[in-house]
Amino acid sequence: MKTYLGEFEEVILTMVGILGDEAYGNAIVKEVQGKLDRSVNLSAVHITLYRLEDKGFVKSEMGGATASRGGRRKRYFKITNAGLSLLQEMQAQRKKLWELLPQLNFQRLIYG
Amino acid sequence: MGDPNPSGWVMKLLKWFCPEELYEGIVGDLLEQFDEEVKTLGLRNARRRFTSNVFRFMHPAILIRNKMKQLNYLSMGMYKSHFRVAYRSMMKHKFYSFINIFGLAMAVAFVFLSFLFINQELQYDEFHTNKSIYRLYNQIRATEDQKLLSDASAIISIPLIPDLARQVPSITSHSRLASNSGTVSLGDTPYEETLHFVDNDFLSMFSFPIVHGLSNVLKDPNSVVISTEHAIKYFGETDVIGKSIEITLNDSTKTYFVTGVVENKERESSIAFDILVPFETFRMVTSERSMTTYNTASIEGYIVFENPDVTRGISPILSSAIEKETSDDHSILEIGIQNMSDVHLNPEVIGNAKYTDPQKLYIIGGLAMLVLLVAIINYITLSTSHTLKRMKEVGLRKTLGAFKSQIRIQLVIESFSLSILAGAIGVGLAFVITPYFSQLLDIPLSFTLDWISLVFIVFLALSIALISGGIQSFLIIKHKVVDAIKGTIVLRKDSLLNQSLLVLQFSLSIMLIIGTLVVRTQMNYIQNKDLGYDKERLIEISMQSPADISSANNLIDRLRLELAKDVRILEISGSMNSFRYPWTQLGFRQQDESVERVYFNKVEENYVKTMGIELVQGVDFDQNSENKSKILVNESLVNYFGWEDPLSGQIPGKNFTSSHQIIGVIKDFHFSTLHNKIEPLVLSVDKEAILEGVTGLSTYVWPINMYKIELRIGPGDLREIMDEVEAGWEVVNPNQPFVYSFVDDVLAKNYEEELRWQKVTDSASAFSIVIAWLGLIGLTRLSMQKREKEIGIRKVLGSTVTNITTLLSRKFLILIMIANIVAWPLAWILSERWLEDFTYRISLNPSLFLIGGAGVLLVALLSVGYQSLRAAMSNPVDSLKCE
Repeated sequence: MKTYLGEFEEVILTMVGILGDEAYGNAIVKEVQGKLDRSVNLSAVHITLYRLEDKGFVKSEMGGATASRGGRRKRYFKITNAGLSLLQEMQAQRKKLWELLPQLNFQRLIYG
Repeated sequence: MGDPNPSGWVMKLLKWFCPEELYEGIVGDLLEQFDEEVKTLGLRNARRRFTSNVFRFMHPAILIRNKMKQLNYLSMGMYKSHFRVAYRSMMKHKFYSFINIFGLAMAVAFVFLSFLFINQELQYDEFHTNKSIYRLYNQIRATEDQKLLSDASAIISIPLIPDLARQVPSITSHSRLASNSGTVSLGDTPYEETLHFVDNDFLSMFSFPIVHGLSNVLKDPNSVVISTEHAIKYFGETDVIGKSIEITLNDSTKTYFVTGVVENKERESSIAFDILVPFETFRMVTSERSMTTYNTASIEGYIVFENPDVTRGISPILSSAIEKETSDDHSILEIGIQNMSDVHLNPEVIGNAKYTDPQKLYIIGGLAMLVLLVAIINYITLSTSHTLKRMKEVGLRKTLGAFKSQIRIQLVIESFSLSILAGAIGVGLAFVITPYFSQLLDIPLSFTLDWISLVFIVFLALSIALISGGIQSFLIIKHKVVDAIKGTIVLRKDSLLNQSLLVLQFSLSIMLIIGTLVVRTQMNYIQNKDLGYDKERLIEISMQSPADISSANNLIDRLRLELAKDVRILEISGSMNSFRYPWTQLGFRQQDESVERVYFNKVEENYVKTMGIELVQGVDFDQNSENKSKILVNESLVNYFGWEDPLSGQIPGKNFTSSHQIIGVIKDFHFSTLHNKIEPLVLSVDKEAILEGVTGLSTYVWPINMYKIELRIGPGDLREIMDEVEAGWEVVNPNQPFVYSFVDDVLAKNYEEELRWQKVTDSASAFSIVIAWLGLIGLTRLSMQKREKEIGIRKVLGSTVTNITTLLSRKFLILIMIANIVAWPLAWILSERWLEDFTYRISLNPSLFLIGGAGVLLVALLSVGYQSLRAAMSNPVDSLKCE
């Protein structure tokens, strides 16, 4: 059985990958905001992260103590190998499809 | 950033619902965001956003994750082990588990059947999509003191509905509903049927599914709509639009064309019909006067309002719309409405529609609860005594670090598995016995597992599990670990709780048995009571809609002549009212405007003789002389009017213009069921004898005519005689089917309801006594096992078998005695309540109570005694040897 990801799940998974060691809830919210200009809710991010964790694409651990955040530790997420290969696979598939798309347009341009 | 904080309660809320292991990460992220937003958006907005974010975290993915995680990783193995232990202990103690599960399963089956029945009764008439259909009823109220002079009756006069529809614009559609018997013929085959006469709106108001035809099908005066069952009965198929049938009413035959075939929803509809004909046809069977008068009530009527809101306070409007027709100086006719959904279960309004006394639903529900209670008690007493055998296990669990809650969970899981199993078996059992049950009770009951019943079953199993498991764990956990392990906890043999539960259980069983006996005795009494006439070898023949009284008399005379040659046929007579109730009641307006009511039967001269009614004074009607204005009255009427010399009496009434002659007084006979007192009655051959005095509202069930022939037969083979009668009928009346019944059967039908309820109590007490008995067997067996060593020692020391048997059974027998003492007064009160409904009833006899108690005692004695005996006879070596 192959696992597929929803669009939002894919975005979050990618962000976890991009942020590397600094991936926790708030950072991801900000990153999505900054890179994609898209406003997301913290709870949606958390829920998605837990779901990805259940599916085994990310893993999480608590960071060290912090001074801010009322002294609460951050839960850091890290992309797993399974997550990474899934992203790669999705990328490859998309590329394959994309390559089919301009070809059609190209021919149209010439003969149409 | 010391000061700005989110609201405290929101933090608490988050902490409460958030799974422990996620909490820190989530609250940290939220606080970080909050701190930033305080700077950018200000404290108030930040707080608001914080709160709304917390609420967004109340997401199933977070909430359930909590539980799933625990189930998955922490206690799943434990749960598995609980189930395994439950299974093992079930298999290890097969006898005990069987009793437990089977007892519960029986109770579940009974409760489920009751549920099916109650649910079915509550669903009556719910299939009509139009929810603003109302049935009309009327009642007479005195203008002076506002007292009700009559019961609310849905039997109304014919012109009422059309008059109301004309005057009250919010009535959008309406239909009258009358019924009469008639003969339907197809070719040469006549069928005796009940026809229903309805207005054109009938099928569009109600939601009887129309299989063929349109809803506007009764417009044509020659149209007829039949039920699918009857379409198949007549034609063998349902698509029979346009086919013709002949209907004979009052000796005139007309051809009708089938314009519609509908499902009559027999099991869900309080309006029962098979053949619908246009209402105008009713003219053929009723007098012209009754079509227009408000003084005779003979039909039901249904109306639809444009919306339900207008029904508030509609009653006075309806009453006043027809006031000038119905009221006089002293009373007015009040018109009320009742919603269709109320028709089936409302005891206040009397009508023709099928009706179930809601009290019966309570009774059957109550019985089901009783049976269930008995089973649960069983379960608790058995499992507590049994679980004490497992104290060691519990003690060991505690020593190894089990929390109380875990042991509680284990016990609940065990009883949960048991009750789910019992529930499943019970439903299976119910499935198997539904057909028998429905046949036994003569209630069309279908076994359906829709989601309501599934929810009900699951709920039932869950509550059994929680109640029994809860009590059980409470009893076990309170013991100290050390005692448990040492095995020094012996359930005190006479634990008060167990004993009172046992007493309660047996009291309930004894009550049910006494109830059953009371019902049976009363039914016996009713069926064998001297009715004032001889019901044996009396036969009733239906005359199909005779044109008028003289043609009916003519038919009777010809039949009498035809059958005269057979000496086994003793007497023949005819009458208007027969053995079906209620009889015609006439009202006579008095000088002071009050109304005196007496019952009335139009009879043939031979009636008193044929029925075998005793004449106490005067003479009977004479076939050879003029019977004009002669009447017979019963003793009750004489007593009612207080006449010294009844033969010179006159029925009082201000509208009498001529006098009538009371030629004789007959002994009171029961012309209604034994629920009712014998009321004043007038018999006459000449229907005009007293009819002119009738002014007050009177109830005719049928128009005045002769409907039945009574036939008294002498000794001889019944079948032969009936063949003879049928042959005679064929000669005098070849065009009509020969429909007859034996009067004792007809009478038995009047008590069908009671017989049915007799069977319900029978089966409830059978269920409960079997369950209680199973419990008793289990309990004695356990108690014997516990005392094995003791018995062995006693025997070694010289006790005899008798000694030991008495010792062992005494406790149980004393408990059952106590149960008797508890049950008797309660049973007495309840039986009295039930008997109140009967005017003619048995007086409660202490012997019934003794028999009930002794019966239970005997059953208990047998099982306890047998087991004690077995224990007492066992070889002490087996129980004492220590290997």
